[in-house]
Amino acid sequence: MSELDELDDYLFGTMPNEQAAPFEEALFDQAARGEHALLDFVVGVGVLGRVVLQRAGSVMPPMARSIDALRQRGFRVEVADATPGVPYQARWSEEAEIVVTHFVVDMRGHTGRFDVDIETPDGQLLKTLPEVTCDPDDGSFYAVCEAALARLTRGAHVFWRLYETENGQRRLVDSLEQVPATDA
Amino acid sequence: MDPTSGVVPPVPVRTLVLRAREGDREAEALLCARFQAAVRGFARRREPTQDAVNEFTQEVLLRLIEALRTGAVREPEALGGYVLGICRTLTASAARQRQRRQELWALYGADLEPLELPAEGPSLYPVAKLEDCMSQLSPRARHVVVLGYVLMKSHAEIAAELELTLPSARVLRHRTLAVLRECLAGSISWESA
Repeated sequence: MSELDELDDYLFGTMPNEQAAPFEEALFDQAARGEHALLDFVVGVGVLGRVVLQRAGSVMPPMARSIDALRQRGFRVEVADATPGVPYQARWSEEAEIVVTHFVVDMRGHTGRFDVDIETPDGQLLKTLPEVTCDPDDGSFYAVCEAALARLTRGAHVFWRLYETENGQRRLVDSLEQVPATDA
Repeated sequence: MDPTSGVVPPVPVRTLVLRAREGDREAEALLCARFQAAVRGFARRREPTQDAVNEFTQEVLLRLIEALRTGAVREPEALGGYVLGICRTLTASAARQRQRRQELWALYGADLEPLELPAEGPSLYPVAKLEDCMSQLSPRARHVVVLGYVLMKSHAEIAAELELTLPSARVLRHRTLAVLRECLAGSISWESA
């Protein structure tokens, strides 16, 4: 069991009290010596996670109605349509707080699991967005993102590849090219 | 310490305690910062809400400041045990806490305030980094982070909400936390685009 597992067990009470007592003594001794990186990490996940949750709300699958909900909470939200076959530029105003990329596809009728791989032109996988959910109303996808993160994507040239996995078979169902924004 | 690592070793706790005793507010702040996460962890194990954790943490740090200024910390090397003792005493005497806290706040609150972790409005870079990492988790894994670390649900509540057995919820939490830690140790994925 890793140190992180033990710390998690301690925090959530799944570590028995007789084990927790010496564990927390060691924890405080380490803190006194300035060795608290692991604790800072777990505390940071909670603190920063609250900000992520308040802003982009990363639990619920984003849908068209999520945009209205964010605006009603007072955020400056910008939405851009991204259509496969049309090179897409990630351009957002300086005022935007939360940005939404709307992937104009129609996956209604598909029953598999969708994942999005984001790759560079030479095939390097930057990240995978696993198990994305399409809006049942029109079959499209919405990616809600903190503007600070979205602005990092402005100069990127990448391909968003939408895969469907069904019956153990993974297949590419659509692809979108993102080109560097002309004002980047 | 490896002389080639470039990492500055932490200032010895004894030095900080002695400096704090002589009125060095920076040393005091460093000591509070060292213990903040440990105290929050102690409280997280016992307290049911974020507010309760915040309140408990604040009170322990106030008592630490008081102890440092009044010279009550007689063995600087044992400061870890001393702070843990404050935590345990507070837990055992919950009924007396509120009144004592108000008194301490009046005396030392202004000095503690700048040390608090921001509840809202921290630099957006670490927020963006966490969001980038969370977007790479499965919905279920994201949910376990939010339930456990953001909303402070208990182990049993998390298992119930995710319709998992208790052992499975624990394993999911462990795996997710490890993945998140590894991801956060790197750069934001888009930075290599």
